Amino acid sequence: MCFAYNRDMTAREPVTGDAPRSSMDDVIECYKKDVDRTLLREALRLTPNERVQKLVDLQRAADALRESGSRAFR
Amino acid sequence: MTDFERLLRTLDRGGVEFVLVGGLAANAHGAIRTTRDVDVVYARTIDNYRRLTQALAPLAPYLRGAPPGLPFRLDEPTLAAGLNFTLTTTAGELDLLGEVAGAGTYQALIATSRQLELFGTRCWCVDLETLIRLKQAAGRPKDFEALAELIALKEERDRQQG
Repeated sequence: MCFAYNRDMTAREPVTGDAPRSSMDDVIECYKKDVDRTLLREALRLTPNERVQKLVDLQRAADALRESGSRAFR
Repeated sequence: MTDFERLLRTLDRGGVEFVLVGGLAANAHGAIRTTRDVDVVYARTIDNYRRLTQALAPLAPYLRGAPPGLPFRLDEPTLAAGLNFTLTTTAGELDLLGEVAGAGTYQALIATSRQLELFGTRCWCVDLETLIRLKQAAGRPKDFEALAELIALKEERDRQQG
């Protein structure tokens, strides 16, 4: 069954035959299928501070990789 | 790379009234997507303009993407005359938003925010439901993937909370 959020995002309602549904809802629904929920569940086990710290660690690693890549291909 | 910790600490120590929104707020709630800037909605009051001006001055704020040498100064008259400022600073990229589509001003957002400790700094962060509403209201195709992730995140969180 398909679901849609109401406009203020407070409830999820089943989409029935002629229920109002925007084209944006359909696009979001498509993108949702590709969301890796295992990563979200893992993140939900952390504190907010641990989550943002992880983001910083990831960005440092990406910057280091970018730097090393640009040196290697110079 | 934007120094999130330094930017948040600078605003907090300066006594600036702000609510964290955008990608960093999404990460604080558990989103996985990365972000490169700090987005905050600031209170549009004379006192807060003064606090913002003083707090950010050491970070040399300048309009992001603007050619160098423009006579731009982030001061109280500039803040009062403008609304949203996309800035570059010595600590990285900072977006100062006076108002956001879908939620309005600082006064409206603070009601749906909670205090979080991020990088050792306590700051107000918009809740996940409002964050979703903001992305929806923006309605930009580039945000659709992020919006899908936030909705999935809310479903996972609600499922865990029963």
